[in-house]
Amino acid sequence: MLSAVTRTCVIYLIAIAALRLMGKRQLAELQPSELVTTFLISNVASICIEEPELPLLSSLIPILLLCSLEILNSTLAWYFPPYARLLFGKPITVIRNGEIDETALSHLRITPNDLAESLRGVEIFSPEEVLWGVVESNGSLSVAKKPQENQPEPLLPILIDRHLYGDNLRALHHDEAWLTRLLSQSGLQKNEVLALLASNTQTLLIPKKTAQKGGPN
Amino acid sequence: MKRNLYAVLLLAGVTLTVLLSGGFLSKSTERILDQLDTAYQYAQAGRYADAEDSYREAAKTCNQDSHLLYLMVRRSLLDEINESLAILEHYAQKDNFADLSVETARVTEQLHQLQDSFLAAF
Repeated sequence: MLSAVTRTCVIYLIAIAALRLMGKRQLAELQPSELVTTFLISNVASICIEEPELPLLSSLIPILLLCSLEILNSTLAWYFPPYARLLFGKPITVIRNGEIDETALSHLRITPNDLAESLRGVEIFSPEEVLWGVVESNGSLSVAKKPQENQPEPLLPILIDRHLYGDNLRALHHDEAWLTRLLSQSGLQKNEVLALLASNTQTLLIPKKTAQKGGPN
Repeated sequence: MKRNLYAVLLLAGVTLTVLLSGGFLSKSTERILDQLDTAYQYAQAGRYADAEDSYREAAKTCNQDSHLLYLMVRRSLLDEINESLAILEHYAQKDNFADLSVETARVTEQLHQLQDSFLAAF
């Protein structure tokens, strides 16, 4: 019995430390690979607690190994955006200017009911209110609303860390030639852009290495 | 990117732990196997008192190392080995040589299984 208590305490602390080290606070923010890692860690931890016959190291080692591999994997995704897209997928537009893209919905296997429920979750009760609705790679729905009177148009992503949002570019009636001209006017190459957002009335260009650093981890 | 440093340190720590554990398990089982081998040779040579001492020594070594070995391998495997080693010294008599041979072979195989349970790749 004492060993069960000891093992539970040890595994509990190690599992919390491992999940904390991975740096996500809410399940909803997890990418698929991180979700898998979280499930695996919880399963391995529970097996160790339930089976006192199993050696402690046979749970501690996999938990710590999963944690370190997940961190290194996410670092690799940071440095290689194509790998990130392969690992995490890419956001898919489901609503454009109030119109639902049914092809995208069927590709994502999301029913109109699911979409309506997600929209209600962000306090939108009609897709006509939506300028741009996108299902992110973690499954959540992000929405840019159509501007009301005297409100500025929301900025849509065009280029983020070498990933081109071609459908947004076309929706704003621009093409790659426009993008190239804009970047050359700013003296930048595509791979020097951290983020380029645009609307019909304004453009926001953030080059790399000049963006403000985020808060402490 | 502090997390990367933590991840690398964690990976290094895990690797070191696995290597040290494997090293300790190897050394421990090899020591016990050597003691068993010595004890059996004494028994074959008719030196049953020495054989009894060596078997007792092997049992004691395994018992002492078990405190750490429990962290690395299944408890049931180690318990079986400890039980088998505990009775060997009592078989170290002229009339029980056949039983002694069987039990020594059994314990030897159990120790090899113990090694495989940690060191095997799959």
